[in-house]
Amino acid sequence: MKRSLRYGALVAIAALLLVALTATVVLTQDQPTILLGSALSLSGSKVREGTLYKQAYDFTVDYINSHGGVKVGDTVYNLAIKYYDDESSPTKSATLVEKLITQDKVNFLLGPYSSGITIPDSAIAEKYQIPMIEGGGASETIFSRGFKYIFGTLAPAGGYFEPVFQLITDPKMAATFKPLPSKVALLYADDKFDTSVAEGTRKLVKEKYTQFKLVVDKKYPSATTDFTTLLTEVKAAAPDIVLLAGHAEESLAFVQQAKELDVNAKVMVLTVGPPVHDFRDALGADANFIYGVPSWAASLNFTDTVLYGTTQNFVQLFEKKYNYEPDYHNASGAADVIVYKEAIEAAGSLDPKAVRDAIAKIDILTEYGPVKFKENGQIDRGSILIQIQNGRVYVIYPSEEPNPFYPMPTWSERSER
Amino acid sequence: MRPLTFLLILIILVVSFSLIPFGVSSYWVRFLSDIFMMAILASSWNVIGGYTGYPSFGNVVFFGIGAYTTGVLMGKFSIPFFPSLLIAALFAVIFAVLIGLPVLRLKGHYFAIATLGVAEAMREVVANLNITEGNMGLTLPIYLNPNFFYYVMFGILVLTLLLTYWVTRQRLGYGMVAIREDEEAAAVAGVNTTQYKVIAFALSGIFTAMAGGVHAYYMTYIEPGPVFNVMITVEMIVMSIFGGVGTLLGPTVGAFIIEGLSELFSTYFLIIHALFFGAIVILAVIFTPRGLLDMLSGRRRFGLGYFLENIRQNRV
Amino acid sequence: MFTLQIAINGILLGGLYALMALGMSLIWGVMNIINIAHGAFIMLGAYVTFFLFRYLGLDPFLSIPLSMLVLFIFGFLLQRYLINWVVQATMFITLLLAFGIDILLTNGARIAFSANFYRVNPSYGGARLDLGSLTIPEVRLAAFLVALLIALLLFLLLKRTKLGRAIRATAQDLTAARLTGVKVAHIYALTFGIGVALAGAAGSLWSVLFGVHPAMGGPLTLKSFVVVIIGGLGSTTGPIVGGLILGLAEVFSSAWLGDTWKNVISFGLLVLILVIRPQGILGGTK
Repeated sequence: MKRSLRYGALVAIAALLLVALTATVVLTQDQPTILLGSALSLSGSKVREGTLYKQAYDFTVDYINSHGGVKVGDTVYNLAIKYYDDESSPTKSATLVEKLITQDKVNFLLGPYSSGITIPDSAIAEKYQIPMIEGGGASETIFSRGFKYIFGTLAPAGGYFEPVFQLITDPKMAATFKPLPSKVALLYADDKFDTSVAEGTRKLVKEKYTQFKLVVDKKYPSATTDFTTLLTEVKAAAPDIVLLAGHAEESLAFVQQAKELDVNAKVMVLTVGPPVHDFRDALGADANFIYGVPSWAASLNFTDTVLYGTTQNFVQLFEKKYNYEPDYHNASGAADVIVYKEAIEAAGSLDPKAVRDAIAKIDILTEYGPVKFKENGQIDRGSILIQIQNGRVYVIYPSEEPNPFYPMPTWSERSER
Repeated sequence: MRPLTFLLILIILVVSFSLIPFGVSSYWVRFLSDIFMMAILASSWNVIGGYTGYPSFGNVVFFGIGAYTTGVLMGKFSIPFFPSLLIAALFAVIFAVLIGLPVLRLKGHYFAIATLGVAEAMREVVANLNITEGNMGLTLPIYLNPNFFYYVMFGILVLTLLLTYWVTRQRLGYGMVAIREDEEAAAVAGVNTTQYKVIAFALSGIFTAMAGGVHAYYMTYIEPGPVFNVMITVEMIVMSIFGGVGTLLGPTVGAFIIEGLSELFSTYFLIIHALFFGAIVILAVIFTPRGLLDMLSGRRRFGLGYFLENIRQNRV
Repeated sequence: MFTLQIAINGILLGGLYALMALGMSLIWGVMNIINIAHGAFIMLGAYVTFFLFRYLGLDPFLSIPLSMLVLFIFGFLLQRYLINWVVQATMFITLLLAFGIDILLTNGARIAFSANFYRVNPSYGGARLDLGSLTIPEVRLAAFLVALLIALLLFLLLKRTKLGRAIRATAQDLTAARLTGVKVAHIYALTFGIGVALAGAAGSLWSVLFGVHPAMGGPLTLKSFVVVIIGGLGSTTGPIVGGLILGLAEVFSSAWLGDTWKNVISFGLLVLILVIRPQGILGGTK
């Protein structure tokens, strides 16, 4: 008898827990509100980037709310965002997106960070036919499943390194790049995004930029901190150009160890790192002359007809609030919110399908640059080639007058400066 | 417990959980499906870790094998779901036997580390094979019906509990406990310890693999990292400990409570919920090392003395 | 020459791995606790050195004694007032407690220090020793020598001092040690403190060579396991042998099979050693 009493107690505790969970806090708003939802990596391996997106989303939502809100018909709405921490796990993220839709009843979704998480999340958005705009997943796989409700503002992964080849083969630059630096070393991490970049790069070299040759083509496990073997192999192959598709911590270790082992190249390009402030801070002068290929750079100045007026205005306001210069993650995230404002106003309603159609047709200028989506939902844009010179980021290509510092001085030459 | 009690509990659970999807939003359906999955994992782990006393720190390897077998069969060879699941279970058994034979000769810490090493090695192997698409991730056909997955997971959980219950009443079950209590004595008494250990290990793998297969289909996309993640093994163990290692329903109870608490924390504490989870684990381990069910079983007087006794027994 | 360069890379890496695993080996050997939070302590040591470097300009090598001290105190208190409560319990319990501590430390660090990755960048950062076509990074060489020095100091501590004798006695037989008057609770706390201090030293070196961020500990804990198992418990030389073997295995499997296979090799080696010779290469019978 006593035992079943104790089991009963257990069931009672469990029931109480379930009730506590169901009792969600209901916010009463005087102002009509459009609720956006996002499952972001606010802990776990991707917390760094996840936080960049949260800041960008929050910042833009606040700005919109204080500058006229979103007009639907005659009513002015405020925007609000409900966040959950997906702990950098795709499983948790998918569950949370479902929670946002069915439990919190969000109107629209903002994307998570990373291609690997966006893929399962987008399936949920598609199932419930709620639009999701993401600024953190560039892999083409996200957009190859025939989904209609997923849109992405990062340039497609496969084309990330294209501006490098475009710059070198541009007739205007023939004198600078003589003789042509044709030997290319390609190193990439083994995750979805970076393998997509590598695949795309291989294709570019094989089909379009045939003057170049891949002398090293090596994959390494994500989160590697020791590149000594790879660097020794790269050094032996003596390439002119080194392309690294990897994550921030890897890029940092790579450059430092390249210096230690005296591995030099005329052109060194990293997918992640150069545009990001802590990368430049951590490396100091060693970061100079390295190229990056982000979707956006803070030194650009687009006209933002929808919200901020100009890119520089966005950059200054953002830096004032968060004490660091925004990078492409921030700009891409901000653009996502801007697209919603524009699409909702264009659709004149909060109906998910109507807004979805408006997003698909969108063609606007934002602080992030022009935003227009291809048929499959991915933005119709390429990456930008930047170079760090004297600790600052300069846009090299596309540009009216590209001004690259070529070739990159060897590590020995640098220490003599 | 007596067969009648067990059957009664099972029937109540089956009926109530079968009706739930009709009354709640699909978020709850999904949430409960995840809890069922963890309950399957924890209860399966309990077979080798709890009943047999061999603390496997690598049981997630079966989860990953199940997920990837199902993923490859469905995604690349268009084999339907249920046959894929069965093949996944078969692979898990084969793997358990092949790996179990050498590794089960180790004891205690060494066994734990060896199984951990096996799981980590398998993750890296899967990440390097072409057929699994490595770290690029594998996509499966899309089937977005949450109730389907709910019932399938629940079904597998019921099967797991039934099998565990049945085993504990066979010679195999008594043999497993004998191995846990004193392996040498058991061997002397005529128990074929190697055979029993391997069987227990295989049993712990069958439903874990099937749960992995369901998970893969549910997510429509898998990568090696998340399905071979050591954290999943740790969760299995924490849940089993919390609910009561070596008891039939302990791991399931543990799964419900841990997942429930975790969800509660994440909902209300966006940034620091992980800290709460860590604190819970520490408190549970210090104060209730024998699990919740032991606390409630009535075998000991329940009071402050219970907790202090636990501490006094375990410290230096 | 290529092979020789790779071998040198492997040896230098191996020395670091040895230092990293030394603390885990000590705690495991003496207290029979597998410290899953080991990597988190390495991470804390790295942060100590980083903050001393950033705010006081203290050279990272000079900060090693400080980070060791800070971590020693932290470890001592942690063992005395928390871990001690479960130290005699089953293996699960101690493992789970360590796991809980790991969660608190890793997430606490992330919340307190932000998730940004940092690096200690002293002015002599990329200095090199060029011997013909071989390149030896000076900082790595220095770190290697420091690792060996610390291992030597540990060896001397354990073999030549009274404290060391007490530790070894406690490791061999808890009850017997108690009977001969050793204050075992105190010894346990000291041992844990020393083990964690060693992790801290490894962390300090890591901050210069590989950078600092809250989640850096996890993979390092796994690597430490591999080192300890390969080398064997119960000696200071075990981890050194294990570390060198792991370092060389990693660089050569990377060069010959491809970088993505090096982890398969590492864990494969772990399982193989456990199955063939569980006490490791230098371990005695236990």
